Amino acid sequence: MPVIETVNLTKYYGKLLALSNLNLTVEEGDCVGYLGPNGAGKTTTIKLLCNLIRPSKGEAYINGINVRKHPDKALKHVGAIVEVPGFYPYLTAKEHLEFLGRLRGIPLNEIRQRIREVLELVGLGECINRKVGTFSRGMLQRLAIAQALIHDPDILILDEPAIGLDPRGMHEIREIIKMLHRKEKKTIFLSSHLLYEVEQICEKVALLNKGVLLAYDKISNLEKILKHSVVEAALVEPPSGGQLEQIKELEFVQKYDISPDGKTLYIHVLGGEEARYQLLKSLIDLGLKISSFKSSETLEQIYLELVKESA
Amino acid sequence: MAGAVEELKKMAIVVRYEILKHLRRKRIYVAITVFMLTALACVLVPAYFNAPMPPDARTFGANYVNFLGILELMTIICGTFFVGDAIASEFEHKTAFISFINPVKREVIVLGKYIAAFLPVALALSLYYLVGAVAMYTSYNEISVRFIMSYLLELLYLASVIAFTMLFSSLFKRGILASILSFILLFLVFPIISFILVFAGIYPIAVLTFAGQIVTEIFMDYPMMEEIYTGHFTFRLYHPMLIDSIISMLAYVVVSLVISTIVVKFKEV
Repeated sequence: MPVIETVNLTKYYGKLLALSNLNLTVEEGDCVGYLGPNGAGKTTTIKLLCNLIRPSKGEAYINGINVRKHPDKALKHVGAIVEVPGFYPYLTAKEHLEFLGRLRGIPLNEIRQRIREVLELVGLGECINRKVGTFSRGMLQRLAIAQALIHDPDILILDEPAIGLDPRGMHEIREIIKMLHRKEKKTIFLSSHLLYEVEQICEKVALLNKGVLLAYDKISNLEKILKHSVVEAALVEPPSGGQLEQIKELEFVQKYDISPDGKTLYIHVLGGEEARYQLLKSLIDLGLKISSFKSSETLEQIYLELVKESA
Repeated sequence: MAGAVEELKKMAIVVRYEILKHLRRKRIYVAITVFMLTALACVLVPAYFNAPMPPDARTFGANYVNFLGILELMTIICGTFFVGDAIASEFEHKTAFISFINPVKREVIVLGKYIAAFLPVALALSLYYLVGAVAMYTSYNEISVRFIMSYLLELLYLASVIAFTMLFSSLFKRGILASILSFILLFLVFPIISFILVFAGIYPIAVLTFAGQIVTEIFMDYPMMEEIYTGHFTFRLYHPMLIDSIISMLAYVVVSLVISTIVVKFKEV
């Protein structure tokens, strides 16, 4: 049974179609990145999953329970961050988590231990008794993660969890999410517009644009649908003019760019894995001294290609 | 049954943390200070100037409850400005994103916030009545039954004002708008409506502020209607009757809370 399932989930805001017939299933233990540009319908989906808004059509299920009909039961094992949530400025971090934990039925003696654990985990251990009104944006985002984890949920629904954090904070949060998924085997549904973030954390990705699901698969499978990819080849010494002419003539090469120092080639390759393998072989045959060879920003290309096609 | 107990426990948690909010926001201390200063002024100033004491405990109670009209004013001010942002701020400041995603019925949150807004103001009012009761007992060796009735009716009036404001707090996304609108309605619009209805010869018991006058009028045995001949025309003066007032105020509590919970239940965040 899928942990998260949407069936023809549709949402209109007035006449504006925000989400169109979304059919998505997330299995237990999956870590799914939900990608899309601003206004794609990511937050709308998350709000529907958390029963914050009602669908115009279709249904959402968590652990097989209809979210709209039985929100209490459906959301019992869910921890969520929706947008940038607000907190009560007059309560401390501890009081917030105590309040939310008690609402979820955690006994008081267990809550206190758990509060320390989650605040330490998100790096707010020293701010436990500080009023939230004095927190910075980044600290609030960390607290948002802490509140999603307070009841040790099996399912995490996270809407841009690293938003508002500095690069170090973003890295820390990514590591926490990775740990929650890999070590604690939590099911994670994470929306983001940061491709790098999704690539780092998730195995599967759902791509959304203008409320329509464009693709949903493992990242490795999605790479296969690419019509072309960009390969970055770092060279020990710049290629000669003759070698560049020959590169242009190679079977899979669409075009290439070269860095100002001439030691990095960006080659647009037509095709997937097999084409890249043939290209590497050909470049070596041409006598180029290659120190590294990698496919750059694959997910971004998949994403841009699919979005372009759907436009 | 077990489910209902669970919901009541959750409501108690909401009440607890909402009260903490009121205590930390310090408005309640201002309200208590105003009530205490008024109470002491009412008791001590006549004593200081050796003014003659009212003939009996009931008259003392009537004077005390009517003093400066502070009770009516403070009930409306506290009732509206303690509650205006109770629900609206959940949407305005996006705290609904942490409170509404919990497995808690939204009606539980609404009722919890309602009770939490009522209790601190009720405490301030109770202190005001307590000072009056102590002064009354000291001077007359008794507590007037009408004074106790006035206190209970005042609590009911407060409950209805808070429920009425809660309704606006549920409807709007800005707390200050809910507070100001309900304040204007209660302080200005409702009295005008009462006045117009009286002129039209209609008993305005459906108007909350008119029903709330029972808090001060309970000390007198007024008839429902008096006809006063001014020399040019006959003017009808209405007084709220006890049972009618209780029904009217209870109706405001029930209807406002029912609508509030329905609105919040279906409101999108």
